[in-house]
Amino acid sequence: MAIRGELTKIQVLMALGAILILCLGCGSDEESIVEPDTSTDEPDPVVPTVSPEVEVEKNEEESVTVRGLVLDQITKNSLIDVRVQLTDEAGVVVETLTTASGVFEFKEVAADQRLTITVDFDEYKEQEFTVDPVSVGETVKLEVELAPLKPEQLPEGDGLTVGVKAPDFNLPDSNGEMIALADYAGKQKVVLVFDRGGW
Amino acid sequence: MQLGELQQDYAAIQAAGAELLAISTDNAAQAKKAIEDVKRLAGVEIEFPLLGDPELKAINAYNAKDPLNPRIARPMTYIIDESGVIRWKFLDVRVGNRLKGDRIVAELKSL
Repeated sequence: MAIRGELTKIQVLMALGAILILCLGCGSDEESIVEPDTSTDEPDPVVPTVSPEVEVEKNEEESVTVRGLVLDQITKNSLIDVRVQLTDEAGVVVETLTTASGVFEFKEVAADQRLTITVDFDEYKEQEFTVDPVSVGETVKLEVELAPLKPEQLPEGDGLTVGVKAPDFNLPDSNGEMIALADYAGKQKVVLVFDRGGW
Repeated sequence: MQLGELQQDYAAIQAAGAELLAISTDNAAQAKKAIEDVKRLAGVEIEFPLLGDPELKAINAYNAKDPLNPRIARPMTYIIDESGVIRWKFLDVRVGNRLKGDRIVAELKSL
């Protein structure tokens, strides 16, 4: 009975495999797209990652507070909607949040343990670092600088990174008049909106 | 974001020291029609330039081609400073993260 059961399992697996192969065959008559193999090269940031500056100060709480600011390493602009994750010494995720106005704050964190903070934002090199244990009634203040990825490291359709030179263009408006980005150089900022068009 | 909505913040964008330019694959005739449609449907007159990039020259240079529809641009917004450097970027495609004109104005003022 046992042997028979095994055989049945193998038969089922073979049947599934055959279906899978058939399904793969179905999709292959579409035009074949050669995807560049980016899996092997680990993205390097434009500039090396800088260790965050850490300060410790007294607070009025019965616990530990971890507060930080996330900045673009090149422009020093604060970064909004950055994912920040706090992990305790045992490797358990305490809390995950996103920055508002570049600032994050974890309250009521357990004292006297090493904490790991991960900071992740789409077009930047992810940073992970540890904070040495602090006592109850202390606030850890951090300033995290994220290095933007090189333009060619961004996925297709994800645009360019902040901090790079904007490519020039010279395009006609709806009256056929040519407008170039260079027309504004040294004079004005430009808000450039890419749109789907064709409403 | 819709170009008609963007028009509502055009004066504030200009007051913050910037010009607003929109790029799509539409040619001049299609852009003219778009301006007329927005005027007719939303009662808004688009005053900023709608630039036509049917050959996707700028769209490709800015890595702004829609991966799901390679014939059009993916909605995204940049602020480029006077020295030609990209200072801020917003991808409209992030879920629950739709760009509003007042956010652009706030970012311009913070630069």
